[in-house]
Amino acid sequence: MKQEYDVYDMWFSDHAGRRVRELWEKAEKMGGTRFFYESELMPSWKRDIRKYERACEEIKKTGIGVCSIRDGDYPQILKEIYDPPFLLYYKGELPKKNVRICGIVGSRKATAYGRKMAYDFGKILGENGVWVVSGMALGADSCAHKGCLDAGGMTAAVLGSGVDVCTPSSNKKLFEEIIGSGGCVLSEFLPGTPGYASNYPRRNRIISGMSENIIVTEADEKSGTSVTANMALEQGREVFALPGNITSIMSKGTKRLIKEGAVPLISVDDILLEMGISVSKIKTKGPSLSEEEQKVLNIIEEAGEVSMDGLSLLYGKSSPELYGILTVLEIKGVILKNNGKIIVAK
Amino acid sequence: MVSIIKSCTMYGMCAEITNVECDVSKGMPMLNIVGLPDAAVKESRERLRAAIKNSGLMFPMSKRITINLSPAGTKKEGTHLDLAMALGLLVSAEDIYNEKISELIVLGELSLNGRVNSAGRIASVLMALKKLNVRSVMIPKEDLKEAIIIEGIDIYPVKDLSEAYGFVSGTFHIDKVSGNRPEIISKEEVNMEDFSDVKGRTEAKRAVEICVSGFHNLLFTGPPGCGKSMIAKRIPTVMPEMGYEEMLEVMSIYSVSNAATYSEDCRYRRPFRTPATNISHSAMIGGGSGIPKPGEISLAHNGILFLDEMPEFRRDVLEALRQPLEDEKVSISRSSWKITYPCKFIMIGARNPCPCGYLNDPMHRCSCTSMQIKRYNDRLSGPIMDRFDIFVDMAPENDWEKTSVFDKEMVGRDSAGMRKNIDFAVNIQSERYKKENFKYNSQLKGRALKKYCYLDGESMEMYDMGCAALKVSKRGADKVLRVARTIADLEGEESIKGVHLAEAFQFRRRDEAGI
Repeated sequence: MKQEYDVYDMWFSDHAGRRVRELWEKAEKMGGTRFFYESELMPSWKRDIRKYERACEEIKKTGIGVCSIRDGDYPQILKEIYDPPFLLYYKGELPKKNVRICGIVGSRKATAYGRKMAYDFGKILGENGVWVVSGMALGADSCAHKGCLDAGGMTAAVLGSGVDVCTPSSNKKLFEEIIGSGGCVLSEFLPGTPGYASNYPRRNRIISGMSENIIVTEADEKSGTSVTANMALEQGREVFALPGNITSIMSKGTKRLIKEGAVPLISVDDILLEMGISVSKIKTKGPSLSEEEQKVLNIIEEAGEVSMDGLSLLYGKSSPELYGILTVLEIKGVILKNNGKIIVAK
Repeated sequence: MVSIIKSCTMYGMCAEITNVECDVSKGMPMLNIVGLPDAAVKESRERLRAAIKNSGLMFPMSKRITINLSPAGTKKEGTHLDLAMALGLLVSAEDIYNEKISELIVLGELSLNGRVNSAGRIASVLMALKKLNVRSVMIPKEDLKEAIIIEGIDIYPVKDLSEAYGFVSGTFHIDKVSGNRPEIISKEEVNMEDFSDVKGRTEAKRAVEICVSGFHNLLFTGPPGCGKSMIAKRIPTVMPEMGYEEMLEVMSIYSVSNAATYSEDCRYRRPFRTPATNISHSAMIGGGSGIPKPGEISLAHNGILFLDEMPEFRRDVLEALRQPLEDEKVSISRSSWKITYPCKFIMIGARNPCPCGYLNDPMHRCSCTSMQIKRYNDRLSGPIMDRFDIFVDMAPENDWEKTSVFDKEMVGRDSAGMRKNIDFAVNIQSERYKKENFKYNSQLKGRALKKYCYLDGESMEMYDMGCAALKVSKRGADKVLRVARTIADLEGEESIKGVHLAEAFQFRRRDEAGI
């Protein structure tokens, strides 16, 4: 691939921020970012090109890809947003043209329900050839990536640090898997940049900017996830929100989104329907359950989420037996127990 | 003439016979004690002088007196050597020879008026002496009550120095008392607390039942106010009785430790220790100046060590638990000696899901960052988590659970009912492991695990399926087996059935990340 960028582009990209379109136009008129650097425009920008020269050598050595807004493989719809990143650094392969892309965002402190749902959405999108874009944070993001990878799909993780810095570092394995599976990890920050908190709102605009629509699994009212959702609306993306329990704090943000007009997803398949993808998968029949197992499952399904105490009260039988049934249901994969709560896993 | 009276010195829970040699001869009037006595032993020279005079006996005047504590190379601690020194001095001065006293171990501290005071920690001393094949001891009368339960040793209780001297010189008769294995009667206690106070929380209660029955370590995770400590506080009410040997072990550990922790109670009930989170390494493991004292883990021997807010404990203190938990004993090394205390205990831990405590609670907002949560969870290291057999996650209460029929209907089981089941399971185990050197299911390892946790076709299928589908590690699978063994014992079943395994799987360690 022709490398259509130089160190001045890197410098420019690092400084442009929200005024990227306006300044880029000026730079083009001058004949390139190099002339912009040498001009007296924007005197507050530090003219420290040595730093970028060093970074450029590093990039060539480590095989990090760079894609500028002028390139053809720059994600098409990301170009359309108000303040697209001038350069994108990436590891792995960027999504090809005409690939469908869906973002999934959710709380880092996701509940069992939120994690499960992020995973399931990631999975069903992966199965149907849709790229899943998320932020590789702990909680919902990681689950969405994992779901997509487990389905053999491809996924892109947008970082708030340089692409060679795995944030959070505990996600190293996922980081490698995403790159290894034909997906990519990308960032607009210069390689080597640590994950400063101030980087994240900027990262979030890329997640929503790259995606044609975005699923919000869970969000608190004032959270990064809510910010991303609002950004997506600004960018004209369709926002899907997952309805949650109205008493749950982690669903406050999504409930508000729904009230404000986001489309609620009422089942996992719903996202395919909304995206106009025909459901290719033939529904497999669930595992066969005994009468008692079915009874317990029904109770859990009715309650949605239930604690051990609630379940034994509703089931009305001694607990040791109940524990056995729960294990069998867990083995068959129809329920999930986490933090003392039991939810339906199907 | 040189006299030799035997006494002993304690090193932890082991005794060493000390020969108190006394020489009274002409020379400059002085009294010297040699043989590495500590300050308390050195001071006894003043007590000797006054006690002998005040008992109406003759203190040898104008004589050079030398007392040697042999073996002279080891340090001697404690005031219980007083009586032996006084008798030695008198015997030497008066030239008495009595064969009776050559095998007698003499213990007791002297008062200035000649009374013999308690030698302290008599139970552990007698237990240790028994191991050295000592047949007869002379002890202060006030220690008799504690000493009487040690069987197989003749006891001569004395009230004061003149009685003791009379016995040695053959002018006074003391009836020997033989210790007896006591009828262990659990003290009638009025327990203010009972498991019926705990509404709901059936899973946690069941976990307690299994944990106490098989001596499994247990970890509770739950938000503040979900009842972790409340449940832990009630565990003593369901602990099974101790056997004679177990009781002696507990008594002797307690009598080695300082007096504050010792009480009559330790004879009747299993220890329940709840150290505070700021506990130091040596208070937990054992140590201190002089001869190392047992720490909380040894004081919890045959009982429970409850670590509330476990991640708040100092890291080095928690890590130091690893070896003792594995070996069931702890060795404390000093340059001059190494002391071993037993420490077989049930470790029960409690922690929150995150530093603020409200993670996953739908009613409260968790204020922790994901890094804080990770750091909090990492405070219990892998090796420590590996020591737990049973994991219970306690869910926060919902609004509807609080207000619904719950309160009225969820009375649940009381202590008496649980205790009955536990006693039953403990008896089955002690019967089964009669010929083994362990007593509880939690101690099953390696070959013994295979032998006693045999799985038949049906249960094997359940086991394999569960391990594969629920992604249980090899070590986790062994834990499931041990717990299933205890569950089967609670049901009175000889072989482990599928249902027992299925229940055991519920108490496995779940991955924190969920999916």
